[in-house]
Amino acid sequence: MTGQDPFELLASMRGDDTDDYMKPGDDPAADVLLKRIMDATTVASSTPRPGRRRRRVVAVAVAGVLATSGAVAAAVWLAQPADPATLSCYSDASLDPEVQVGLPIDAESTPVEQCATLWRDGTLASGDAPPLTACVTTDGITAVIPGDDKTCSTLGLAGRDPGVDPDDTLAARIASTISDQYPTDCVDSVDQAVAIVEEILADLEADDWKIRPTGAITDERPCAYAAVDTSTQVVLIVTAAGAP
Amino acid sequence: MSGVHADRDAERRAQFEGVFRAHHRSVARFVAARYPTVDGGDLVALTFEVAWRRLDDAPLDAVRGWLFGIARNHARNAIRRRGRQRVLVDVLAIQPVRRVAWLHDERLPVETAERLAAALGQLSESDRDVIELAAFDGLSGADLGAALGVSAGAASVRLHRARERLGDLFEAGR
Repeated sequence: MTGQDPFELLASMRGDDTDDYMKPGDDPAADVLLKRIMDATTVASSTPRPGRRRRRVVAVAVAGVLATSGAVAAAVWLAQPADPATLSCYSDASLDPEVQVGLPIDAESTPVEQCATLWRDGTLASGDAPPLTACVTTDGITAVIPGDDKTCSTLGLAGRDPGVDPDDTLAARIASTISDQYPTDCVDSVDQAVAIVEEILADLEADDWKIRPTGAITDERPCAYAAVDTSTQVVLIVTAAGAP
Repeated sequence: MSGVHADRDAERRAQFEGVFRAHHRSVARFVAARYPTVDGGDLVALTFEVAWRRLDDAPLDAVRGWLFGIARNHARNAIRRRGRQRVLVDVLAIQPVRRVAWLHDERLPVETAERLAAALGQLSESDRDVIELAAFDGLSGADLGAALGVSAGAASVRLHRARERLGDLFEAGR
Protein backbone atom coordinates (compact mmCIF):
# COMPACT_ATOMS: atom_id res chain seq x y z
CA MET A 1 0.00 0.00 0.00
CA THR A 2 2.67 2.50 -0.93
CA GLY A 3 1.87 5.93 -2.26
CA GLN A 4 -1.61 6.01 -0.84
CA ASP A 5 -2.98 9.41 0.13
CA PRO A 6 -4.48 8.94 3.59
CA PHE A 7 -6.91 11.77 3.03
CA GLU A 8 -8.21 10.17 -0.13
CA LEU A 9 -8.46 6.86 1.68
CA LEU A 10 -10.61 8.46 4.33
CA ALA A 11 -12.71 10.39 1.83
CA SER A 12 -13.26 7.35 -0.36
CA MET A 13 -14.77 5.50 2.56
CA ARG A 14 -17.36 8.17 3.24
CA GLY A 15 -20.89 6.98 2.82
CA ASP A 16 -23.51 8.78 0.81
CA ASP A 17 -24.42 12.01 2.54
CA THR A 18 -26.41 13.89 0.05
CA ASP A 19 -28.84 16.51 1.25
CA ASP A 20 -32.00 14.54 0.55
CA TYR A 21 -34.96 16.89 0.72
CA MET A 22 -37.42 16.13 3.49
CA LYS A 23 -40.96 16.57 2.34
CA PRO A 24 -43.79 17.43 4.76
CA GLY A 25 -44.89 14.23 6.45
CA ASP A 26 -41.61 12.39 5.91
CA ASP A 27 -40.58 13.02 9.51
CA PRO A 28 -43.44 14.24 11.73
CA ALA A 29 -41.08 15.14 14.58
CA ALA A 30 -39.07 17.35 12.26
CA ASP A 31 -42.26 18.98 10.99
CA VAL A 32 -43.18 19.80 14.58
CA LEU A 33 -39.73 21.25 15.20
CA LEU A 34 -39.95 23.39 12.07
CA LYS A 35 -43.32 24.79 13.09
CA ARG A 36 -42.17 25.40 16.64
CA ILE A 37 -39.09 27.29 15.53
CA MET A 38 -40.96 29.56 13.15
CA ASP A 39 -43.95 30.12 15.43
CA ALA A 40 -42.28 30.56 18.78
CA THR A 41 -38.53 30.48 18.65
CA THR A 42 -37.76 30.21 22.28
CA VAL A 43 -34.51 28.36 22.56
CA ALA A 44 -34.86 25.67 25.12
CA SER A 45 -34.58 21.97 25.46
CA SER A 46 -36.05 20.62 22.27
CA THR A 47 -36.36 17.07 23.43
CA PRO A 48 -39.70 15.80 22.16
CA ARG A 49 -42.44 16.48 24.62
CA PRO A 50 -45.64 15.14 23.12
CA GLY A 51 -48.71 17.02 24.15
CA ARG A 52 -46.71 19.44 26.19
CA ARG A 53 -48.86 22.35 27.16
CA ARG A 54 -47.71 25.90 27.19
CA ARG A 55 -45.87 26.52 30.39
CA ARG A 56 -47.32 28.84 32.91
CA VAL A 57 -45.41 31.26 35.01
CA VAL A 58 -46.28 30.74 38.61
CA ALA A 59 -46.05 34.02 40.40
CA VAL A 60 -45.20 33.34 43.99
CA ALA A 61 -44.32 36.68 45.35
CA VAL A 62 -44.68 40.32 44.71
CA ALA A 63 -42.01 42.23 46.49
CA GLY A 64 -42.93 45.83 46.42
CA VAL A 65 -40.06 48.15 46.95
CA LEU A 66 -41.57 51.01 48.81
CA ALA A 67 -39.89 54.27 49.32
CA THR A 68 -39.78 55.23 52.95
CA SER A 69 -40.73 58.75 52.01
CA GLY A 70 -44.14 57.44 51.14
CA ALA A 71 -43.76 57.35 47.38
CA VAL A 72 -43.76 54.04 45.54
CA ALA A 73 -40.39 53.78 43.85
CA ALA A 74 -40.86 50.56 41.94
CA ALA A 75 -42.46 47.19 42.12
CA VAL A 76 -40.35 44.15 41.45
CA TRP A 77 -42.38 41.18 40.37
CA LEU A 78 -40.77 37.91 41.21
CA ALA A 79 -41.71 34.50 39.91
CA GLN A 80 -40.37 31.02 39.96
CA PRO A 81 -39.90 29.36 36.59
CA ALA A 82 -42.50 26.75 35.71
CA ASP A 83 -39.67 24.95 33.95
CA PRO A 84 -36.89 24.78 36.53
CA ALA A 85 -34.57 22.78 34.31
CA THR A 86 -34.13 25.06 31.33
CA LEU A 87 -32.11 28.22 31.04
CA SER A 88 -31.89 30.69 28.20
CA CYS A 89 -29.03 33.20 27.95
CA TYR A 90 -29.74 36.40 25.99
CA SER A 91 -27.12 38.53 24.28
CA ASP A 92 -29.04 41.76 24.74
CA ALA A 93 -31.89 43.21 26.74
CA SER A 94 -34.61 42.39 24.25
CA LEU A 95 -37.36 39.83 23.93
CA ASP A 96 -35.88 39.02 20.53
CA PRO A 97 -32.16 39.03 21.23
CA GLU A 98 -29.55 38.71 18.56
CA VAL A 99 -28.20 35.55 20.16
CA GLN A 100 -30.06 33.23 22.49
CA VAL A 101 -28.53 30.06 23.86
CA GLY A 102 -30.53 27.40 25.67
CA LEU A 103 -29.00 24.97 28.13
CA PRO A 104 -29.99 22.84 31.09
CA ILE A 105 -29.80 24.51 34.47
CA ASP A 106 -26.89 23.33 36.53
CA ALA A 107 -28.07 22.81 40.08
CA GLU A 108 -24.56 23.41 41.36
CA SER A 109 -24.26 26.84 39.78
CA THR A 110 -26.55 29.82 39.32
CA PRO A 111 -28.27 30.89 36.11
CA VAL A 112 -26.37 34.16 36.06
CA GLU A 113 -23.05 32.41 36.51
CA GLN A 114 -23.90 29.84 33.84
CA CYS A 115 -24.67 32.57 31.33
CA ALA A 116 -21.67 34.63 32.40
CA THR A 117 -19.55 31.66 31.38
CA LEU A 118 -20.99 31.85 27.89
CA TRP A 119 -20.11 35.53 27.73
CA ARG A 120 -16.57 34.88 28.89
CA ASP A 121 -15.96 32.09 26.37
CA GLY A 122 -17.29 34.23 23.51
CA THR A 123 -20.46 32.28 22.80
CA LEU A 124 -22.76 35.24 23.32
CA ALA A 125 -20.32 37.99 22.44
CA SER A 126 -16.66 38.70 22.83
CA GLY A 127 -15.48 40.35 26.01
CA ASP A 128 -16.35 40.23 29.65
CA ALA A 129 -19.84 39.49 30.85
CA PRO A 130 -21.91 42.63 31.42
CA PRO A 131 -24.12 42.93 34.49
CA LEU A 132 -26.74 40.19 34.16
CA THR A 133 -30.12 39.64 35.69
CA ALA A 134 -32.38 36.59 35.81
CA CYS A 135 -35.96 36.91 34.57
CA VAL A 136 -38.75 34.43 33.91
CA THR A 137 -40.23 34.39 30.42
CA THR A 138 -43.93 34.04 29.68
CA ASP A 139 -43.12 30.43 28.82
CA GLY A 140 -41.91 29.91 32.38
CA ILE A 141 -38.25 29.58 31.45
CA THR A 142 -35.41 31.31 33.26
CA ALA A 143 -33.82 33.91 30.99
CA VAL A 144 -30.60 35.65 31.95
CA ILE A 145 -30.49 39.03 30.29
CA PRO A 146 -27.94 41.86 30.32
CA GLY A 147 -29.17 44.53 32.68
CA ASP A 148 -30.07 45.31 36.25
CA ASP A 149 -32.96 44.72 38.59
CA LYS A 150 -35.24 46.91 36.47
CA THR A 151 -34.58 45.10 33.20
CA CYS A 152 -37.06 42.28 33.68
CA SER A 153 -39.98 44.60 34.36
CA THR A 154 -38.90 46.90 31.52
CA LEU A 155 -39.28 43.94 29.18
CA GLY A 156 -42.59 42.94 30.74
CA LEU A 157 -41.10 39.91 32.45
CA ALA A 158 -41.04 38.79 36.05
CA GLY A 159 -37.80 38.67 37.93
CA ARG A 160 -36.64 35.22 38.90
CA ASP A 161 -37.43 34.49 42.50
CA PRO A 162 -34.16 33.52 44.15
CA GLY A 163 -36.09 31.55 46.72
CA VAL A 164 -35.78 27.82 46.56
CA ASP A 165 -38.70 25.56 45.93
CA PRO A 166 -37.81 22.02 46.99
CA ASP A 167 -39.75 20.48 44.11
CA ASP A 168 -38.03 22.68 41.57
CA THR A 169 -34.66 21.81 43.01
CA LEU A 170 -35.50 18.13 42.69
CA ALA A 171 -36.54 18.60 39.05
CA ALA A 172 -33.31 20.40 38.31
CA ARG A 173 -31.32 17.68 40.06
CA ILE A 174 -33.12 14.99 38.09
CA ALA A 175 -32.42 16.76 34.80
CA SER A 176 -28.82 17.35 35.76
CA THR A 177 -28.25 13.81 37.01
CA ILE A 178 -29.75 12.24 33.91
CA SER A 179 -27.62 14.53 31.77
CA ASP A 180 -24.52 13.45 33.66
CA GLN A 181 -25.19 9.78 34.26
CA TYR A 182 -27.22 8.55 31.31
CA PRO A 183 -24.90 6.53 29.06
CA THR A 184 -23.36 8.43 26.19
CA ASP A 185 -23.30 5.29 24.08
CA CYS A 186 -26.47 4.12 22.39
CA VAL A 187 -28.86 2.41 24.79
CA ASP A 188 -30.51 -0.09 22.49
CA SER A 189 -33.26 -1.26 24.81
CA VAL A 190 -36.20 0.70 26.16
CA ASP A 191 -36.29 -1.59 29.19
CA GLN A 192 -32.65 -0.85 29.90
CA ALA A 193 -33.31 2.89 29.59
CA VAL A 194 -36.21 2.60 32.00
CA ALA A 195 -34.03 0.69 34.45
CA ILE A 196 -31.31 3.35 34.30
CA VAL A 197 -33.79 6.15 34.94
CA GLU A 198 -35.52 4.16 37.68
CA GLU A 199 -32.23 3.89 39.50
CA ILE A 200 -31.56 7.62 39.13
CA LEU A 201 -35.03 8.52 40.41
CA ALA A 202 -34.66 6.10 43.31
CA ASP A 203 -31.30 7.57 44.25
CA LEU A 204 -32.84 11.05 44.26
CA GLU A 205 -35.91 9.81 46.16
CA ALA A 206 -38.13 11.23 43.43
CA ASP A 207 -41.08 9.13 44.47
CA ASP A 208 -43.65 11.29 42.70
CA TRP A 209 -41.96 11.08 39.34
CA LYS A 210 -43.04 8.65 36.64
CA ILE A 211 -41.30 7.08 33.68
CA ARG A 212 -43.16 6.81 30.40
CA PRO A 213 -41.77 5.05 27.29
CA THR A 214 -43.11 6.70 24.15
CA GLY A 215 -41.87 4.45 21.39
CA ALA A 216 -40.15 1.23 20.47
CA ILE A 217 -36.66 0.56 19.20
CA THR A 218 -36.64 0.30 15.42
CA ASP A 219 -34.00 0.26 12.69
CA GLU A 220 -34.61 3.96 12.16
CA ARG A 221 -34.64 4.75 15.88
CA PRO A 222 -32.18 2.33 17.42
CA CYS A 223 -31.34 4.22 20.61
CA ALA A 224 -33.39 5.09 23.69
CA TYR A 225 -32.94 8.48 25.34
CA ALA A 226 -34.37 10.05 28.48
CA ALA A 227 -36.19 13.38 28.30
CA VAL A 228 -37.32 15.22 31.40
CA ASP A 229 -40.73 16.91 31.30
CA THR A 230 -40.81 18.98 34.45
CA SER A 231 -44.35 20.20 33.83
CA THR A 232 -45.78 16.72 34.38
CA GLN A 233 -42.98 15.23 36.49
CA VAL A 234 -42.42 12.53 33.91
CA VAL A 235 -39.24 11.20 32.40
CA LEU A 236 -40.04 10.22 28.84
CA ILE A 237 -38.11 7.43 27.20
CA VAL A 238 -37.92 8.37 23.55
CA THR A 239 -36.26 6.52 20.71
CA ALA A 240 -34.20 8.24 18.08
CA ALA A 241 -31.29 7.84 15.74
CA GLY A 242 -27.95 7.40 17.45
CA ALA A 243 -24.28 7.49 16.65
CA PRO A 244 -23.21 5.13 13.86
CA MET B 1 -48.36 44.07 10.28
CA SER B 2 -48.16 46.07 7.08
CA GLY B 3 -48.43 44.41 3.71
CA VAL B 4 -44.73 44.89 3.06
CA HIS B 5 -43.78 43.36 6.38
CA ALA B 6 -46.21 40.49 5.90
CA ASP B 7 -44.69 39.75 2.50
CA ARG B 8 -41.20 39.89 3.96
CA ASP B 9 -42.22 37.59 6.81
CA ALA B 10 -43.78 35.08 4.44
CA GLU B 11 -40.71 35.20 2.24
CA ARG B 12 -38.43 34.63 5.22
CA ARG B 13 -40.49 31.69 6.45
CA ALA B 14 -40.47 30.12 3.01
CA GLN B 15 -36.71 30.57 2.77
CA PHE B 16 -36.14 28.99 6.16
CA GLU B 17 -38.46 26.08 5.43
CA GLY B 18 -36.47 25.44 2.28
CA VAL B 19 -33.22 25.42 4.24
CA PHE B 20 -34.69 23.22 6.96
CA ARG B 21 -36.14 20.63 4.61
CA ALA B 22 -33.07 20.53 2.42
CA HIS B 23 -30.55 20.09 5.22
CA HIS B 24 -32.26 18.66 8.30
CA ARG B 25 -31.26 15.07 7.59
CA SER B 26 -27.74 16.04 6.74
CA VAL B 27 -27.34 18.04 9.96
CA ALA B 28 -28.83 15.18 11.99
CA ARG B 29 -26.34 12.72 10.48
CA PHE B 30 -23.47 15.13 11.07
CA VAL B 31 -24.42 15.65 14.71
CA ALA B 32 -24.93 11.95 15.39
CA ALA B 33 -21.61 11.02 13.85
CA ARG B 34 -19.48 13.82 15.22
CA TYR B 35 -20.92 14.42 18.67
CA PRO B 36 -22.27 11.16 20.05
CA THR B 37 -21.98 12.37 23.62
CA VAL B 38 -24.26 15.35 23.04
CA ASP B 39 -28.03 15.07 22.89
CA GLY B 40 -28.46 14.94 19.13
CA GLY B 41 -32.09 16.03 19.08
CA ASP B 42 -31.36 19.10 21.13
CA LEU B 43 -28.33 19.99 19.08
CA VAL B 44 -30.16 19.70 15.77
CA ALA B 45 -33.02 21.79 17.13
CA LEU B 46 -30.66 24.41 18.51
CA THR B 47 -28.79 24.55 15.22
CA PHE B 48 -31.92 25.35 13.28
CA GLU B 49 -33.18 27.77 15.94
CA VAL B 50 -29.98 29.75 15.55
CA ALA B 51 -30.23 29.43 11.77
CA TRP B 52 -33.75 30.89 11.89
CA ARG B 53 -32.58 33.91 13.86
CA ARG B 54 -29.52 34.44 11.70
CA LEU B 55 -31.09 33.54 8.38
CA ASP B 56 -30.17 36.88 6.92
CA ASP B 57 -26.50 36.02 7.50
CA ALA B 58 -26.67 32.63 5.78
CA PRO B 59 -24.19 32.29 2.92
CA LEU B 60 -26.35 31.22 0.01
CA ASP B 61 -23.56 29.18 -1.56
CA ALA B 62 -22.61 27.37 1.64
CA VAL B 63 -25.71 26.78 3.72
CA ARG B 64 -24.79 23.21 4.60
CA GLY B 65 -21.35 24.18 5.88
CA TRP B 66 -22.85 27.14 7.72
CA LEU B 67 -25.28 24.84 9.52
CA PHE B 68 -22.49 22.40 10.37
CA GLY B 69 -20.52 25.32 11.77
CA ILE B 70 -23.40 26.34 14.04
CA ALA B 71 -23.75 22.74 15.24
CA ARG B 72 -20.00 22.49 15.89
CA ASN B 73 -19.92 25.62 17.98
CA HIS B 74 -22.87 24.64 20.08
CA ALA B 75 -21.71 21.06 20.54
CA ARG B 76 -18.45 22.29 21.93
CA ASN B 77 -20.17 24.77 24.16
CA ALA B 78 -22.57 22.13 25.38
CA ILE B 79 -19.70 19.86 26.25
CA ARG B 80 -17.83 22.67 27.94
CA ARG B 81 -20.91 23.66 29.89
CA ARG B 82 -21.17 20.21 31.30
CA GLY B 83 -17.59 20.29 32.36
CA ARG B 84 -16.81 17.44 30.07
CA GLN B 85 -13.63 18.60 28.51
CA ARG B 86 -12.21 15.14 28.85
CA VAL B 87 -15.16 13.71 26.98
CA LEU B 88 -14.53 16.13 24.16
CA VAL B 89 -10.92 15.06 24.04
CA ASP B 90 -12.01 11.44 24.06
CA VAL B 91 -14.53 12.03 21.31
CA LEU B 92 -12.02 13.78 19.15
CA ALA B 93 -9.44 11.11 19.78
CA ILE B 94 -11.63 8.07 19.51
CA GLN B 95 -14.10 8.91 16.85
CA PRO B 96 -11.73 8.82 13.90
CA VAL B 97 -10.53 5.49 15.17
CA ARG B 98 -14.09 4.26 15.35
CA ARG B 99 -14.76 5.39 11.85
CA VAL B 100 -11.56 3.95 10.55
CA ALA B 101 -12.27 0.70 12.32
CA TRP B 102 -15.73 0.61 10.86
CA LEU B 103 -14.45 1.41 7.42
CA HIS B 104 -11.59 -1.00 7.75
CA ASP B 105 -14.03 -3.79 8.26
CA GLU B 106 -15.45 -2.97 4.89
CA ARG B 107 -12.48 -2.17 2.75
CA LEU B 108 -9.14 -1.63 4.40
CA PRO B 109 -6.41 -4.00 5.55
CA VAL B 110 -5.84 -3.89 9.28
CA GLU B 111 -2.38 -2.39 8.97
CA THR B 112 -3.60 0.50 6.84
CA ALA B 113 -6.54 1.19 9.12
CA GLU B 114 -4.31 1.25 12.14
CA ARG B 115 -1.86 3.62 10.47
CA LEU B 116 -4.70 5.90 9.47
CA ALA B 117 -6.07 5.91 12.99
CA ALA B 118 -2.65 6.57 14.45
CA ALA B 119 -1.95 9.41 12.02
CA LEU B 120 -5.30 11.04 12.75
CA GLY B 121 -4.73 10.66 16.44
CA GLN B 122 -1.42 12.50 16.22
CA LEU B 123 -2.78 15.49 14.34
CA SER B 124 -3.48 18.71 16.19
CA GLU B 125 -7.13 19.31 17.01
CA SER B 126 -7.26 22.03 14.40
CA ASP B 127 -5.82 19.82 11.66
CA ARG B 128 -8.00 16.89 12.62
CA ASP B 129 -11.04 19.11 12.54
CA VAL B 130 -10.50 20.26 8.99
CA ILE B 131 -9.61 16.75 7.83
CA GLU B 132 -12.77 15.34 9.36
CA LEU B 133 -15.01 18.01 7.89
CA ALA B 134 -13.53 17.48 4.46
CA ALA B 135 -13.02 13.71 4.43
CA PHE B 136 -15.79 12.42 6.66
CA ASP B 137 -18.41 15.11 6.09
CA GLY B 138 -17.60 15.91 2.49
CA LEU B 139 -17.28 19.67 2.86
CA SER B 140 -15.18 21.69 0.47
CA GLY B 141 -14.76 25.24 -0.75
CA ALA B 142 -17.21 27.74 0.65
CA ASP B 143 -18.99 25.06 2.71
CA LEU B 144 -15.76 24.11 4.44
CA GLY B 145 -15.00 27.76 5.10
CA ALA B 146 -18.48 28.38 6.49
CA ALA B 147 -18.16 25.42 8.84
CA LEU B 148 -14.79 26.60 10.10
CA GLY B 149 -15.81 30.25 10.25
CA VAL B 150 -13.16 31.35 7.76
CA SER B 151 -13.06 32.25 4.08
CA ALA B 152 -13.09 29.54 1.43
CA GLY B 153 -9.49 30.43 0.58
CA ALA B 154 -8.31 30.18 4.17
CA ALA B 155 -10.13 26.86 4.55
CA SER B 156 -8.44 25.54 1.44
CA VAL B 157 -5.02 26.50 2.79
CA ARG B 158 -5.78 24.90 6.15
CA LEU B 159 -6.94 21.72 4.45
CA HIS B 160 -3.88 21.59 2.23
CA ARG B 161 -1.52 21.92 5.19
CA ALA B 162 -3.47 19.45 7.29
CA ARG B 163 -3.38 16.93 4.44
CA GLU B 164 0.37 17.34 4.21
CA ARG B 165 0.80 16.72 7.92
CA LEU B 166 -1.54 13.76 7.78
CA GLY B 167 0.45 12.34 4.89
CA ASP B 168 3.73 12.78 6.77
CA LEU B 169 2.36 11.05 9.86
CA PHE B 170 0.86 8.26 7.76
CA GLU B 171 4.17 7.64 6.03
CA ALA B 172 6.07 7.83 9.32
CA GLY B 173 3.89 5.04 10.64
CA ARG B 174 4.92 2.69 7.88
